[in-house]
Amino acid sequence: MPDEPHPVAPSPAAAAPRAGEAAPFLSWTAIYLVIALSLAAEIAAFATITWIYR
Amino acid sequence: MSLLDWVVLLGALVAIVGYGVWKARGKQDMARYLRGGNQDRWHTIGLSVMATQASAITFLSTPGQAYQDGMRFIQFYFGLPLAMIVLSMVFLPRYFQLHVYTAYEFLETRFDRKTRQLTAFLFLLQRGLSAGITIYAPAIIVSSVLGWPLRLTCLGIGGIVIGYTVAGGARAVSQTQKQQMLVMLGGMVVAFIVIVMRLPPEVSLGNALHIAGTLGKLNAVDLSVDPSTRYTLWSGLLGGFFLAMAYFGTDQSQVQRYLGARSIAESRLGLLFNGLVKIPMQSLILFVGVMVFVYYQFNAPPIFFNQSELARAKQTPYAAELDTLERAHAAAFEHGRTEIWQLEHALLQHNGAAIATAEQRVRSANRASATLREQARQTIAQALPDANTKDADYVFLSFVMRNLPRGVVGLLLAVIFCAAMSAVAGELSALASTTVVDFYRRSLRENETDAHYVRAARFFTAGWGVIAVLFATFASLLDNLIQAVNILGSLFYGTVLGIFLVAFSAHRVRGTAVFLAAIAAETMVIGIFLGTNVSFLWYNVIGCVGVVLFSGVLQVALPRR
Repeated sequence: MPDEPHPVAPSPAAAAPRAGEAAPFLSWTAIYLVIALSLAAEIAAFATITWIYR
Repeated sequence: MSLLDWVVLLGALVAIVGYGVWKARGKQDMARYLRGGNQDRWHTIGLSVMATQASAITFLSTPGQAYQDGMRFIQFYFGLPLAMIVLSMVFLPRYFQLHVYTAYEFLETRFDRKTRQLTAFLFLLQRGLSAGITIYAPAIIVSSVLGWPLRLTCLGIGGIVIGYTVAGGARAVSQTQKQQMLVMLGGMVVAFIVIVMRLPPEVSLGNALHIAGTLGKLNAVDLSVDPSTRYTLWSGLLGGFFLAMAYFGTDQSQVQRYLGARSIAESRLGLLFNGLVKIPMQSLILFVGVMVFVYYQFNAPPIFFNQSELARAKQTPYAAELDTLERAHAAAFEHGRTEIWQLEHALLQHNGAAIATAEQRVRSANRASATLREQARQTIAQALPDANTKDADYVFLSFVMRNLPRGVVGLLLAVIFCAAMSAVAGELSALASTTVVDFYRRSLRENETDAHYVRAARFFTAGWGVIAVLFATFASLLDNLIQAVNILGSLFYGTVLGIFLVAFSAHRVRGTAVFLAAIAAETMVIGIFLGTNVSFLWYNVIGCVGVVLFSGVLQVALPRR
């Protein structure tokens, strides 16, 4: 079996979404930062609760 | 169950399924049937992704887990938001550029057909078997608590899902999942409020938290570095990250959900919405379990929540022993309740010394009750060697049926059925799309019409559905197989993720190198599973890193063509 890429025919372009669109609000970087910071806040909150009732 | 509960339960299920089928009406082509016609907005994608992951067991077992073991399970989800960010940045652009139907199509573009079909086969094997368990696991609990026939419950769940998934394809799946997820979220919020209202009026939410914390139920973060400890901050962040990357990035049941978005921006926002909401949602579900635990500090719990198994065990020569244990448990509860009220009074008076003394006594009384429950569990296991003694699964539904008002019981049963149906529908649709796109169209019938492939997709959706229902119907005869299927998922995910990461990042590595590396890494993971007690979350890291390293070495070592 050939060890080479075998391109797959793309599906009909008419039905395909447009790639590379911008974020509807803020920038993508800002949105990623919000997600990461909310995770940090959640972990900090759970760590605090664990520490209070240790 | 009251008439009002039946009206709420059946009303919710019929309305949701009807709405989904109505939204998916009209002529189907492949893009519409397998990708929903790319019409979905970010909120549909986000809720649909969450609904696919949330099976009924999420709502049945997770509160019970918190009841027994506290909040520590939340750490399992700590890696998920970070995985959503990486998937949005790296995976989504490639899938959307190639306009693929399945994640595995991309692997042939990048490597070769054998790597594509190996990965697709692993998905079919793992997801095809687990679809049956997604039906069976809640059916056994619901039928046991409500006294419904098990096989009929399996057939009911499976039959409805097969019906609307075959009829409406991916669009019907995503539209029903959106509504089902809203019912699930709303139902758990209502459950939490009602449980807090059922606590004695003197007990504030703050004091309820203090009682839960005193008895070790708010221990959410574990900093241990022991690899055999299942849920720690580190296994959650790192192992959970790799598991979420593998599940959301390479499992077709998830990839199909966000490939149905209107645009890559809507798809990204849907995944990021999942990253933002998942931990709060799981916290709520765990917190419901913690509040049920606090409720049972003031109200007598049964010694064993699975009452049908307890009743069965009492038909054996162990009946007298179980009666003795029940009386001792009732006495231990009365003693514990006295100590809890002492703690409550000390809390109300803000008396530090009295609080500390009462806390010690409460912990001691709780240990005595736990010991008696464990003795009862062991006695039931001796009396009935075939009994299901994993009692945590029965805590929440048993509590709902005994304590919640009419109407709310129907709503929470709707939550459980919505969860079961949404997860199974996502799985069946993904299994059919992978079978048609990666095998049937690729290797068996390459040049058929669009209508032919839609007919094939409907056939395979129904076929996988029938297999899942048959598996669920006869699963009680195959306990060891169920355990094997559960293990199977965690064994393969790391390796599959490794293949995709090499595809995205190691541009020099070709198909044969990654194919052999995947086999070597999988052998290593199975060896670790058989030979060590390393926690399963680490298999995802080991399998993934193994494929990346081995494929790099093999690409250099293998002779070039």
